[in-house]
Amino acid sequence: MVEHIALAFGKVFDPLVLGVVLASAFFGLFVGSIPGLSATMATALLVPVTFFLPPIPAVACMVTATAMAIFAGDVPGALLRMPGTPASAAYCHDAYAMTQRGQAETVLGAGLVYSVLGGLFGTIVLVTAAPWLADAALRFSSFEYFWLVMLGLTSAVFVSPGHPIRGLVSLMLGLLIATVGFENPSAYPRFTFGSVELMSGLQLIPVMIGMFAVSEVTRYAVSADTPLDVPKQDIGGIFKGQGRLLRTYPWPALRGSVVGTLIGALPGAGADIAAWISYAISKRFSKTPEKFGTGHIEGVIESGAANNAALAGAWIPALVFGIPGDSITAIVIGVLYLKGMNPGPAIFLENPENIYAVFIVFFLANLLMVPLGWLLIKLAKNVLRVPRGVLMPIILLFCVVGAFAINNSVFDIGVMLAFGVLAYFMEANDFPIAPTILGMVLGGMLEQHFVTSMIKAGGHVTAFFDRPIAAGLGLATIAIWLTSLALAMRQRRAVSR
Amino acid sequence: MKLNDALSGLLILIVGSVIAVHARTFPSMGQTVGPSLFPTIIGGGLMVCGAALAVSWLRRRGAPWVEVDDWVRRPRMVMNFALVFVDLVFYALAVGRLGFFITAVVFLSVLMIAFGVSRARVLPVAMAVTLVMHYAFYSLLRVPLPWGVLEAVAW
Repeated sequence: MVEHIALAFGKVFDPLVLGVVLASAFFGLFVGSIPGLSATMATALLVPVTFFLPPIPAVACMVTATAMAIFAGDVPGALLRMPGTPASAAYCHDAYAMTQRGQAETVLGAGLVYSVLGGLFGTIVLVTAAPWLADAALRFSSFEYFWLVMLGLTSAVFVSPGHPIRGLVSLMLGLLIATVGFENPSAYPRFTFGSVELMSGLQLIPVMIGMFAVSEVTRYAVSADTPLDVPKQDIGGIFKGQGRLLRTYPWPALRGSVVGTLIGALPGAGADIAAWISYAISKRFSKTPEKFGTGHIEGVIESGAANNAALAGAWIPALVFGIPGDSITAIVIGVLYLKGMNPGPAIFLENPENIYAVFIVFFLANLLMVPLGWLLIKLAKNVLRVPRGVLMPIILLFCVVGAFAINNSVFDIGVMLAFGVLAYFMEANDFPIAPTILGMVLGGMLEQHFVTSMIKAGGHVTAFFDRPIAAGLGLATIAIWLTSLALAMRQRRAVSR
Repeated sequence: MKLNDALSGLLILIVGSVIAVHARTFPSMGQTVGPSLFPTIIGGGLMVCGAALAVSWLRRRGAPWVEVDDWVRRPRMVMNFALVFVDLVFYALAVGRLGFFITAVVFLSVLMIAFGVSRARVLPVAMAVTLVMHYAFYSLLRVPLPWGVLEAVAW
């Protein structure tokens, strides 16, 4: 193990990897701090770049950019009351109210400090839990995997806010996309309509870029662009008074980190949901719940730690089972496969140094956040003034180069465009996008494990509950379905009364 | 554009049934679980969800059939919407012949003008961005961006 860790350090502390980490840190901070550009979009835009990088820098680039973006989202939240990413939305009201009271330094500093602490906490849990879980997962058969995927898809639909039926439609759409082509257990070409390009299925990269980036540019194109009202005052020392805050609120910080990691690790729920839930928990257990929403730091601390902790937590199921914890890791899993680092318990046995390298990058990214985050806060006024009329065309060019560069096929641009339009209309009609991506990434795996299990069981469905862990996972899945149904029924009865 | 739940439910129901019916035509290939099972379940699931959405509309009627966003009534916005797609198609068709430099500068300039960036800035910004992108993708990442008509000056 020691020699693997030494190898991993050698892999990370290499000029190319360090250069990539630094560049993607700036990229992540920038994208995260611009309202309307999310951490998921940052990841989607990075995919074409990672395509041309060796595996370790490719993964390092995504880890760093997302960690930075989730923190950076706090900055416009505090200064403009516009969350830079959805993960900062939960406490943006409080943060802005503090800025208006002249406490911008305190709230921005807290955003940075607790992002770093939450991120480090999540990373420590990832580093300790993942190998341990992988050990257990080595004994998993197709039955356990089938239920794990089902559990992931189920929580993607029912844990996320909004109407579960709309989430379900979005999920079905993703599963449907995954069936296109002949890469299925029977190798029968489905939904290809005689097209050669569709034979190998719809490629993840153009679909992702379309759904997360092109749709956003489209939304900007039809919105009346009002220049952001950036505050003029200078921002002073942000670290002043942070020690006192940590002594006053040690429990919220810890609770936010724990809850964030757990929600991140839950397949299908990511940083934004972690922040909302943590904010609610913080308010529930606070000595001064009435202050929440009026510019109180406690909720900012707790959910600010939670969203960065969730980021690392989401990697636990992604690395161990190949089941994404959120839409960011859904994209990451696609990249891991492309790079030959197929996720699953075996990755901890075959290439442990690669996994250790990923862990080291996590620590590095979170520590690097301290100086770079400070720099972003100092420069925030200028960053926020970058005109979006210039930015959006550049993002679109990035999309098209990314989608085109990989296969040099015009078809991929068409796919990107089609999914951009689809995502735009889905969001306009309140259908969430994340379940589609999850369905798309997990659809093939779900079918594969189902068919394998059915063949092993000779067609007897009861076999899905024969093994204890499979039965537990299966029952958990069914329980979530039944509870959600019961809740929906009760709500409906309450409404009709 | 926002469809009400009855319309979107109906649309999803139709899509689901088309998928389910189409999936029944897949051969069974003599296996326990053939290629048609999964698409059939998905089609069926979409039908159920579509029906549920339509039913939820029955409970609280009143929403208009189609809510058109404000931007549809503003010609400039409609043009911007169309331009995003026209520009992408232009890139796909032109990049092979004109090369990355010319295509990207045109691509960026058109959108920036549409998004109201001041004219004097458009060309310098577009050219600078194109150069940086080219350096990043072509020189650093070794993506074979086409040179097109500028083949003679390729580096």
